Amino acid sequence: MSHLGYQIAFWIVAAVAVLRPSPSFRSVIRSRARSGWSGPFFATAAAFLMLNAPMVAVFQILVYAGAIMVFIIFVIMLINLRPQELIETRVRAVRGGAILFGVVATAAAFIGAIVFRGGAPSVGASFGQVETVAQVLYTRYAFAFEVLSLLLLIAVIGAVALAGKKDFTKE
Amino acid sequence: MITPHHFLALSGVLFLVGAAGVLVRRNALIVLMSLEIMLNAANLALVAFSRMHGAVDGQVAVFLIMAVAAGEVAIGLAIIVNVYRLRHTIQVDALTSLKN
Repeated sequence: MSHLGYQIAFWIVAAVAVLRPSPSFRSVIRSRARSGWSGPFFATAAAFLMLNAPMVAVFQILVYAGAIMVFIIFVIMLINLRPQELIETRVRAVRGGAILFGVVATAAAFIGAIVFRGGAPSVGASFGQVETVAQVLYTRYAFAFEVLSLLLLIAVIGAVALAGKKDFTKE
Repeated sequence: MITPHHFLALSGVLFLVGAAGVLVRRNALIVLMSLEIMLNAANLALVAFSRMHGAVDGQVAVFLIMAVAAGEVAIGLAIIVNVYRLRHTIQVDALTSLKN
């Protein structure tokens, strides 16, 4: 990709990632739900692609847009919120300070990135491909991988235990 | 010219967005989503560092974080559904039984 194209792509990704995740709850209930909430996740996936991590990008879309978003929409439908539940409630007292802080922090971050920029090493075509990543994952990080499978098993048991409770009010 | 440092800056800003969401929003579902955005920002930082050093270890760490995030969402949503059944609200301000 040319330098200019890469630059334009980066700023589009940055804008989508930072500005998209502020949906009102009403828009979530409407059919815009997934396009609204998935914005930052798709933008991050694009950023992974731009950083030579295609495998991570694919997993990002599968896990976040595919699994987690569907799950959250499913819960929204399941608990079937009444209209008075949807009224947007935020802490308003700190709003001005928070916006100012956000703008200053954003500016500081990107000025820092420009000041301290250094070239990244050029990497081969296999960098970030399935084979390269899997080789490291299943050798150097094999133990972490196994511990993770245990963690997921516990999560499954916990979720089933939470869902299986009969009636809270009679306890 | 865009370097991995720019992606690091983006990850910092994204983390701030998520943190602000956790602090400011009062709907438990949106708080959970903001948590996911913070995890995403950490993932972006890891991938940027991985590119910066030309080593795939950072990308491996991203997989581990993604699995943790998926487990966290499964448990978190189960808790939210149970809280809603019990209290008929998911506003975090309403959950004060441990306050005193």
